[in-house]
Amino acid sequence: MRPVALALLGCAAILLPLAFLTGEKPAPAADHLDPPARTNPNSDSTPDFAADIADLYVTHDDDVVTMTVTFGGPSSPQLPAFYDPNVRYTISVSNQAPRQTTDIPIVFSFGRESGTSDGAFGVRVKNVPGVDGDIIGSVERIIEKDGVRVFAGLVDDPFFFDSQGLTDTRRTGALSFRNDRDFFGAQNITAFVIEIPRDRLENGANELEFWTFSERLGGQFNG
Amino acid sequence: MADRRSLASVMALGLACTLAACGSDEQAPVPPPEGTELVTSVVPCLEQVVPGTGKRVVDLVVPDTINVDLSKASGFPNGRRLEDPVIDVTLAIIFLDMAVHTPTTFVNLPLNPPANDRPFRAEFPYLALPQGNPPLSGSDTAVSFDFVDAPDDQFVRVDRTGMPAISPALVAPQRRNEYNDAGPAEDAAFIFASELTTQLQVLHEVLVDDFQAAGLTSCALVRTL
Repeated sequence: MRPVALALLGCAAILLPLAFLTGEKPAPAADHLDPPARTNPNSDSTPDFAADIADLYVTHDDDVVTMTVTFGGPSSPQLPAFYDPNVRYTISVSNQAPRQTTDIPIVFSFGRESGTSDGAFGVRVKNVPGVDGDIIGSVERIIEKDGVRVFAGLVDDPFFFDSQGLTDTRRTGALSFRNDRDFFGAQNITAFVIEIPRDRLENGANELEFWTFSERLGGQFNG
Repeated sequence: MADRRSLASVMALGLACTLAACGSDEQAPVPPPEGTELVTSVVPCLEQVVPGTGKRVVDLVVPDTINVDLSKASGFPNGRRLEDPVIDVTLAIIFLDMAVHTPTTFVNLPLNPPANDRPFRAEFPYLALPQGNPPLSGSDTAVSFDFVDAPDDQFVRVDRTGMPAISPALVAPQRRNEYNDAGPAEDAAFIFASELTTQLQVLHEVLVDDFQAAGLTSCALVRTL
């Protein structure tokens, strides 16, 4: 690897001192296992994986805006998704000034098939502009209602970063990064995706702001 | 939109307090040896405009939201696509002088893996299929589900996210709960401005010699003792 790359890789090692566990290995990420006192096994004996948001993605084209939230990962390929009925997730959208206030709160939650204790999981989405009532359907299926598409399920973790290089560099003091090594490769994560006609969010020429948060019923998870 | 002068002054005050140990009875630190590269300010890094966006770095991280201008093409930092190399871009805009370098300086190396290990799907929901054969929980027949409906005040915040890596990279661990309990309103009120500046200052102090060795120009103000 070129010297400049090695020097810069060292920079990255210091920039992202975020440790979290994936299986048994500490690693860094966008927002995985943050805040550590609530979601990181290194700092919390009862980490709340289901409420641990990893990333928010927002894309658009001429017709739609697509929002994706990942959480509960990265996780081993043999593990199931995190569908916790006591956690709810909100995507907050601001489409008018001031930019820091929420104009459209879109709320996601999960629940078991009615009358069962181990049945299939469903997802419910509330407060979707232009949708009559809630969007409800099975996880791991594409749901469509009033021009909106929703998906919730286990997917490959889309985040890519050489966090093993960070771990090795911190442990040895020697630069150990590789740009052909993706710690999040071969790892899964739970996600929900919602695609909305852009005119449901668009407000003239106003810029849009997006952020997401998770909440647990009754307070912090304690096992 | 945050007032430029007030934001800069708050951040500058936070930095000044950090360097001068405001409100502290601690003894003055031992001066660093001659020849040390001393980062005197990272405010220029936060104030610099990111090429192609018309926005300052500080406007992209405060408040901690993903900003989207629908009249422009989608792609980080105008939104965030699955395939965007957000870490390498973020590193460039907070560490490098954007009058000399571009936001893709690290992407072009590349510094980190340049893409996901699995291709994203062309059709909704776009994310790649899960790895392995994990147990699944969906159903083609279930139509009714039981959801928890409780008053809002019974739900307690756990986590929040906007721009990638702001909390993990620029907020000290002891303030992460506070940061995640807050929101864009608190961000815009500069509650965490000095925190972000302080952490960025610390990172620059550690990395400034690496930038020089790599032939890169830091956006921070640096003085050689």
